[in-house]
Amino acid sequence: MPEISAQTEPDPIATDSPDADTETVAKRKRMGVTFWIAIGWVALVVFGAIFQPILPLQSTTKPDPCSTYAATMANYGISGTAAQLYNNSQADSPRQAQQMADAGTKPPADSISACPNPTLNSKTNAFPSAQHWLGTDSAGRDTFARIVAGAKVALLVGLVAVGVGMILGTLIGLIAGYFRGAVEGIMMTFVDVALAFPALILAIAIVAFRGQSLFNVCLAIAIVATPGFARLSRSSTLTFSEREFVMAARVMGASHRRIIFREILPNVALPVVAFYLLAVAIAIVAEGGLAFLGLSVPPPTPSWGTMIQDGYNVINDSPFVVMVPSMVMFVTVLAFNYIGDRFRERFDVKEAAL
Amino acid sequence: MRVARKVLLSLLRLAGAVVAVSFLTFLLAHKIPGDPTAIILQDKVNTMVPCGSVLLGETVDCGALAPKVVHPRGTEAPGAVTSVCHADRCVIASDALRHQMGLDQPVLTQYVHWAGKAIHGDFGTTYDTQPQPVWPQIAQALPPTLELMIIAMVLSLIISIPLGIYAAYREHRLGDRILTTASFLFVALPNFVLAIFLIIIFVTWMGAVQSVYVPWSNGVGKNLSTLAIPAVALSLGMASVYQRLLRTDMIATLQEDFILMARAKGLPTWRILTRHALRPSSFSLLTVFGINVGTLIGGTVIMEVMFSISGIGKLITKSIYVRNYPTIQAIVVLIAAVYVAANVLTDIFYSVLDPRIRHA
Amino acid sequence: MNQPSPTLQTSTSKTGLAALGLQPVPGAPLLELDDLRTYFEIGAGTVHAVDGVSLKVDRAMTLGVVGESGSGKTVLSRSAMGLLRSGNLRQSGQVRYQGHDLIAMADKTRRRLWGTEMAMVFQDPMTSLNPVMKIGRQITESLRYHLGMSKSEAREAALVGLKSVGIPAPEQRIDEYPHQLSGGMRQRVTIAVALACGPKLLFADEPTTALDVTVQAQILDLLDHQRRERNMGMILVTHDLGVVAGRADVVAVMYAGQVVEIAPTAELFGNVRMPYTEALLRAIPKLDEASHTKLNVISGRPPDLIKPPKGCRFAPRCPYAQSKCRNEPPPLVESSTPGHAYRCWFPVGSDQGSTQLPAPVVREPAPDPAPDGAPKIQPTPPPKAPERRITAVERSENAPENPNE
Ligand SMILES: Nc1ncnc2c1ncn2[C@@H]1O[C@H](COP(=O)(O)OP(=O)(O)O)[C@@H](O)[C@H]1O
Ligand code: SF4
Ligand SMILES: [Mg+2]
Repeated sequence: MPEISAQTEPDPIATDSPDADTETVAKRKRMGVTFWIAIGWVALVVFGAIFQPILPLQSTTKPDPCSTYAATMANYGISGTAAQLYNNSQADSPRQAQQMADAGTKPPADSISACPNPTLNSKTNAFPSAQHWLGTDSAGRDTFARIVAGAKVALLVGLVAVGVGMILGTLIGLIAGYFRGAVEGIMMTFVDVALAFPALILAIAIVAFRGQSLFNVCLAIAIVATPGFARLSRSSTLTFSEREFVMAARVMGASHRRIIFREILPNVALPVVAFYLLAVAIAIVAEGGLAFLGLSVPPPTPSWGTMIQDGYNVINDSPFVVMVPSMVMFVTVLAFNYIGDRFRERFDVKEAAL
Repeated sequence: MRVARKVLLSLLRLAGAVVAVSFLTFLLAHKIPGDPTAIILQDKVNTMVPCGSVLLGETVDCGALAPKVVHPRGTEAPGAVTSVCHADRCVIASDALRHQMGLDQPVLTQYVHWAGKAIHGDFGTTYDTQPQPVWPQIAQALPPTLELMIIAMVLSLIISIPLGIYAAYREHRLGDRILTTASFLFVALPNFVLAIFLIIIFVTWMGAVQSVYVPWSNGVGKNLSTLAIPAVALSLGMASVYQRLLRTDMIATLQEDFILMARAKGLPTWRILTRHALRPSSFSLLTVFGINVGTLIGGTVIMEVMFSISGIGKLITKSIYVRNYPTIQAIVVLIAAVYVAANVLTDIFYSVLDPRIRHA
Repeated sequence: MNQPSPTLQTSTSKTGLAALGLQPVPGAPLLELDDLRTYFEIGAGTVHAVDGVSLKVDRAMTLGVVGESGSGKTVLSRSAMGLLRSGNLRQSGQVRYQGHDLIAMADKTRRRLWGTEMAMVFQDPMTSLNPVMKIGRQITESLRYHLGMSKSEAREAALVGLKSVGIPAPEQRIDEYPHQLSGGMRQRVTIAVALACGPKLLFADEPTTALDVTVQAQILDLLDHQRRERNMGMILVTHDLGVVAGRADVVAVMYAGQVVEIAPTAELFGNVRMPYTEALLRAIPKLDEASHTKLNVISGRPPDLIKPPKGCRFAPRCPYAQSKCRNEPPPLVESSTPGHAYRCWFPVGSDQGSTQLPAPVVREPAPDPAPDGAPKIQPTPPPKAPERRITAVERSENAPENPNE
C-alpha cells in the first residue's frame, strides 16, 4: 500500500472522524429512506404472494400456444399449420401432420384464433411489452405473473419454513441452555453434527430422497435452519440464565416453564429474530440452489429459483429472461439483509453473536 | 504442549462428528423408500427382458435372460433370482440380491461393516448396472472441486484483506463508504446470480468463451480460464464478508495503544497496518473462514452443475438421484473430514496468530 | 544497567534531523511550545483540550506536567510530538524541536524524528505493547527501520537495551510475548522500545499510573537514570505532584488545557501561588494508601472544555473565587522569583486574597500535605503550612479509580 498519509489528510489511526456526529445524523436520515424502501419491497412481495390467486394475472403455467407451435416447428422442421395439427392431436406423427397440412387440412378453429401465425405471433423469450410487463420465458409464459406466483414459494420457503426452524431450534436451545447437563450434551451433539454438514448438501439429500415437492423443499429448509437457531438461542440462554432476574425468579419458586418462557425467552428473542431475518434471505437463495440441481418445486409451478434455472438455459440468446428472476431474488435478499442489519443496529445485537 | 493437547482434543471431538455424520447419512439413506437393488436390476431388466407373453404380476423365471448379479465387492454371484412381470417389463425380484449385498442385515451391522472397510480406504462399489469401485470415481472428481474451492478461498482472501485494511484505515471516508456499500451488495448477491451476471457481461456481451472444465494437464491457462467465472462468483460474497469483519476488527485495533506506540516509533503507515494491526484484527475473519468451508462446498456444487464441471458436487447429486448409497456415503465422509480438517487447521492457526492462546 | 545503549554509536546512516538535512538551530532549546492550541471539533462544539500552552525543555532536564485527569496532559504531550492527526483536529501555535517547527512539517517528515529524536512511553504497558509480537521484534523493528541494522545487529542492540532497562535474563525474555511479563517488566520493555534509537527527548505520559505501587518508584528511577545517562530531555506527565517532586527540574501545573502555574520544582513546592496547585499538593497520596488514590479528590468537576468558564477556569471550584475571577480570565504572570509564573487574580499568600476573603469555613482539618515516610516523593523543601484552610479540598481514603485514566 502506498503511503496514503499526507499532512492535510486526516488520519483515522489517531481518533475520531471529522464531524462524526453531524455525519451520523445525516446518515440516519438517508438510511431511513433505504430502510423503508426495503420494507416496501418486502411488503410488495408478501402482498403478491398472498393475493396472487385473485390478482388479474396471466396464466403462470399454461404455455403460450404460439410458443408451443414454434417449438414444435423448430423441433421437427415442419410448418406452422403442421405444428398446430400435431399439437392438437390431429396427427399421430409430425410427418403425418406435415402431409395433412400439405394436403390442406386446417387446424381446429380455436387453435387458429389463439394463434393465427406461430412464426409471427410466437412470444418466446420476449422483451417487456405492454402486454407482458417483464417479457416472457422460453415457453412464452408471462414472466411478471410467474414472478408474482414465485413470491409465494419464496415466502413459504423463507418466512414459513425458516420460521418453523426458528421455533424448533429456539426451543432446543432454550431447553439445552437452561437445563444443561446430559440434556444439553445430547441435544448439542446433534446440533453440532448437523452444523458440521454443508447445509445445501443436506437439503439436496432430503429433497432427493423424499421426492420433489414444495412441501419437501420447505421441510428441508426447516430442518437445515434448525441447528443454527439452536446454537444461537442456547448461547444466549446460557448468558441470561445466570443473570440476577432469572436467579430471582428461581428463588421465588417460579416453574421452569415460566422462567424459560417469561424470563429468558424475551431476551433470547432479540438475537433470534435478527438471525431469522438473515436466515430468510439465506433460505430464498437456497431454494435457488436447489432449483439449479433440479430439486426445487416441480414444474410447471413457478418459483424464482426454477425461473432462474430455466432462463439460464437460454442465457446466451436471451439474457433478459434469466435477468428478471435473478434481479428479483437479489433485491429480495438484499431487502431482508438490510432490514436484518438495521434491526441488529437498532437493538444492538452483536454480529459475532450470530 | 498445550496446543498439541488442544488440537488433539478438537480432533477427537470432530472425529466423533465424522462418525456421527456418516452414521446418520447411513440411516437416512437406508430408511428412505427406494430400493437400491431395484436400481441395479431394473435398468438392466428394462433393457434386456421384455415380458412378452407373460401376464402382469406373474412370477416367472427369467432363466437364461437373468443378468449376472455382481456383488458390490466385485465378486460375481450366481444370478439365481426370480423375476416378476411388472408393467410389461420383467423385473427380477431383488431379495436374493439384497441378501447378497448384505442389505437385509440390521443397519448397525451394515454400518460397522462399511466403516471397517472405509477406514482402510475401501468405500465399496457403486450400486449400478455396471458396478464400479467408489474410490476411483471420487478420486477423479476431487481435483476440479478442490481446485475450485482453493482458488475461491485464496481469491476471497486476496480481495478482502487489502480492502479490509484500506477501509479501516479510511474509516467513514469516501473509499470506505463505497466499499461498505459494495460489500453489502455482494453479501446479498447469491453466487449463482453473480455467476449469471458475469456470464451475461463477459460471455454474452463481451464474447469471451466459457468452455467446459479442462484439467491442468491441458494447460494451466486454459484450466484457469474455465474456472475464472465460477471462482469469482464463489469468492466475491465470501470476500465481502471477510472484508467487513476485518474492517470492523481493524478499526478497533487501530484505536489500541500499541498502534499509537508503533506510530511513535516512526514506522510508516503501511508497515503499522500490515505488521502491527493486521494480525490482531484477523480472528473473526479466521473463525468465519473456517466455518465457511461448509458453505463453500454447497456453492461449489451449484457452480459444478452450472458450469458442467465433473466434480464432487456433481457426483453427489447424481448419486443421490440414483440412490447410489456407497458413493453418497463416501462423499459425505469426505466432506465431513474436510470440515474437520478445516476446523482443526483453524484452531492451530489461532494459536499461531495469538501467542496468548498458545500460553493460556 | 549502567551500560548506555550502543545504538548511538553504531548508527552509521543518517537519522533524525540529519536525515532530513536539517541542523539544530544554535541556541534553540530542545523543545519549545509556543502558544500551542489543540482543539477538537465534535458535534457538541469545540473541545479546547490544550489552550495556549508555552513551555520549554532542554537536554538533560525533566519537565513535570501535572494536572487532574482530563486537564489535557495527554493531548499536550501527543500534540507536542505531533502524534495527533484525527480529522477533527484544529491546531495552532508552534512546536519547535531544536528550532524547527513540527506543526508545519509534513507528517511523513515528522515521522522521521519519531523514535530517533523523540520518543514516548505510554501510560499502560498492558496495552501499549503489541500482544502478538515478540518483545524483541518490537525493539528491533525501529532499529532496523531507522538505523538500517541487520537482523543480528538489531538483536544484539535489543539485548543490550533490555539489559540496560533492568530486564533480567534478556536472552530469554527477548523471545517472549508481552503477556508473559509482569506489568513492571512490560513498562521496562516499553522504555527500551522508546529508547532504542537513542532519542534526545522522551515523553513519559503517566508512566507509572497503571503500575503496582511497589514498582512505581523503580520505573521512575529507571527513567531518571536513563535521562541522565543519555543526556535526554524528558517530559514527565503525571496527575500526582508527588511523582514529580523529587525528579522534575521544572513543574508545570495544567488545568483545563492551560498551564496555571509553572516554576522550578523547589520554588513551586515552597511558594505555591495558584490555589489549584495548592489543592493538588494536599492530594499527594501517602505511600500507605491505596495505590491509585487520584487527584479528583478536589471537590467538583473539571470544567467543560467545550465551554470553559469565561473568567478563571478554576473559579467554580476555587474557594477564594471572587466576582473578578468569574468574569476576567487571569493572565499568566511572572512572580518575583524568576521562572515562576501563575494564573490567578488572588494568589495564595498574597494580601489581596486573604483580605478580600470572608472568614474561611473549615470543614475538616487539612491533613499534613507532606507524605510521611516517603523520602522518594518528599517535596524539597516541604511545603510550608498554608495560611488558609482550603475548604473544598477533601481527602478521600478510597477515591474511586478514574475510568478515564
Ligand atoms: N480526539 C479527541 N476528540 C475530542 N476530545 C478529545 C480527544 N482527545 C482528547 N479529548 C478531550 O480532551 C481533554 C483532555 O484529555 P487528556 O489530554 O486525555 O487529559 P489528561 O491526559 O490530562 O487526563 C478531555 O476532555 C478529552 O475528552
Ligand atoms: S483567579 Fe480567582 S478563582 Fe481563579 S484560582 Fe485565583 S482565586 Fe481562584
Ligand atoms: Mg492522560
